[in-house]
Amino acid sequence: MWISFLFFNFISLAGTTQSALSYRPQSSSLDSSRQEHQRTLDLNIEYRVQKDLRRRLANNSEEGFHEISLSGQYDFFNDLQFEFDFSTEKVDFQHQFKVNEAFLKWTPWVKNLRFRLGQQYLPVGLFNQRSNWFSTNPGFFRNIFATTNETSDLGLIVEILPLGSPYFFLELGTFLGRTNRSEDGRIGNSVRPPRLLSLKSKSKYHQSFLTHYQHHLAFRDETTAIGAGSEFFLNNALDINPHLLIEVWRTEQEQTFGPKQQSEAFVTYVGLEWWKFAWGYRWSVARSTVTGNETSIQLPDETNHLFMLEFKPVAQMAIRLERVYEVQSEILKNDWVGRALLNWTWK
Amino acid sequence: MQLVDGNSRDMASNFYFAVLFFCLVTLQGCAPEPLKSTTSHEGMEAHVMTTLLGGNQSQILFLKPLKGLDSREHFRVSARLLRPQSNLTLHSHFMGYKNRDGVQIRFRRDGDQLYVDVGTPGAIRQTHPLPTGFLSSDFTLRVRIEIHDGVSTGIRLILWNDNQKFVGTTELPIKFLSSANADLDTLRLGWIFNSHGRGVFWGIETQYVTITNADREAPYVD
Repeated sequence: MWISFLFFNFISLAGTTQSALSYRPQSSSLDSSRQEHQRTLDLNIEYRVQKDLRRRLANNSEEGFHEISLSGQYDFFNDLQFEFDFSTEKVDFQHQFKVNEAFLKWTPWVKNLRFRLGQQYLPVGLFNQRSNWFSTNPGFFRNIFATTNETSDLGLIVEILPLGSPYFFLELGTFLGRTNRSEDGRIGNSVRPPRLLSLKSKSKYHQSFLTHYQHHLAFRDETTAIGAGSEFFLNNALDINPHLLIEVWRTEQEQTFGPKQQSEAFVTYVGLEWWKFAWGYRWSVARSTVTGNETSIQLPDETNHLFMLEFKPVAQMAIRLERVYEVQSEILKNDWVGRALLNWTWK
Repeated sequence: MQLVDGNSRDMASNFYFAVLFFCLVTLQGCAPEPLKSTTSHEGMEAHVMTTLLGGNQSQILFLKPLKGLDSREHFRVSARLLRPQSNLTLHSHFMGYKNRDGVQIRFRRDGDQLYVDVGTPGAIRQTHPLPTGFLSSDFTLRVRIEIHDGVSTGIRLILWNDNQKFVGTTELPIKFLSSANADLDTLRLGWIFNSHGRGVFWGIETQYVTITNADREAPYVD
């Protein structure tokens, strides 16, 4: 009796789950409701204040970070949609306009084959496709993407669903590798463009991946990354919604001249949502070894902690406090981050 | 008799071995072999390997590795440039003096003027004169050097003069560090250079220089 009651609650509440962590549904969402004609427009505004708590000669924080992004979707036909996400941000008195996403989604056989062509976030791991989830990503992301910011690039993604369901599908992608590093002002042809191959699984309660990602960008070293991860959304009768995520990565960075660096890293996130509050803790550890001629050097471990507390007074607004603490043989970050996130949607 | 012969043969061989060992030691002493020592110097990061090359030249290799092949590093160096032609070279992101890879930042005194040369293997060395305040009246250089390698647009070098600022008769330390108040920022100057081959060590090479401090801090510029 109790088991069936709990199971019923679990199932009924799971459908209403939506992460309060500014979770942007992935553009590869396999939701069939998108087959209807719709014109959706989202306006997102973020204001961020960051305070470096270290006693240092400088406060190198990104104080007064402003970001406005505009995203939307337009359905030309049932099987052809256009999605976009533009943003402009101001950091340290410098403005930057970015085209995060602008791609066409073509689903000729919606149950078995889907294409996405254009500027889009790289579907590598579970963090990269979520804009503004946290103020910073773990440092080891630089080993994978050559930047710690979210990475988007011009390319083609093909999703193959052999069973006709998202419980198991294959994702292949290739990108130009020219514009996916927002930190760089230089553009050069990549020696080997970014390519990825993933096995994925999705449902209302979970998503999992196993990915092989490889690139050799201009001015960078050849990088190979293999990762696996899962995310679970759980619900219970008390309406306390736990959220669990774990990713494991192994990367190899090989220089043309000089030693190579191998890294193993994991990142995990545990979150709880209740009423208008959300609490989360992200923890990541990266361990690297540099191997040269007859030498092998163990680098200091890189550890990153992030605590998050969010209050959502209304559906369109979230006020969030983050504490970021990063150590690699010395304190690299000890920041308080205050964020206000506003979001309006028109349909 | 055979036993006596055996003993005398052993004694002879021991004698020849001793002579050979003496010659080897003597010859080794005559050769200009660099003196190597792994020591902890006061005012420096622990675990350094110092090599004295003769001619008032020395090489210091810091054995505690950097954060990675791609990293942002902040160094503090204090040294006295004793002669008009003294120079001090900071090697960052390199694997040792044998490879000489990574980034090289050389502070070169020319009389009362101080120059900084920045270079990487295979790239043209670029020179920039530094303001006179970089050298104190006793030719002491106190400098903060931040190097970003592999994490942003090529290599970025940022320099701050860490000598005490004098306001009247009061000495004031630098109050804040950022890219805005840097004395040299290669990104602002538009210098573009990459390092072909990077490592995870750092070191200091000197000529007619006395080093008083050399250590690292967490980077200041994102």
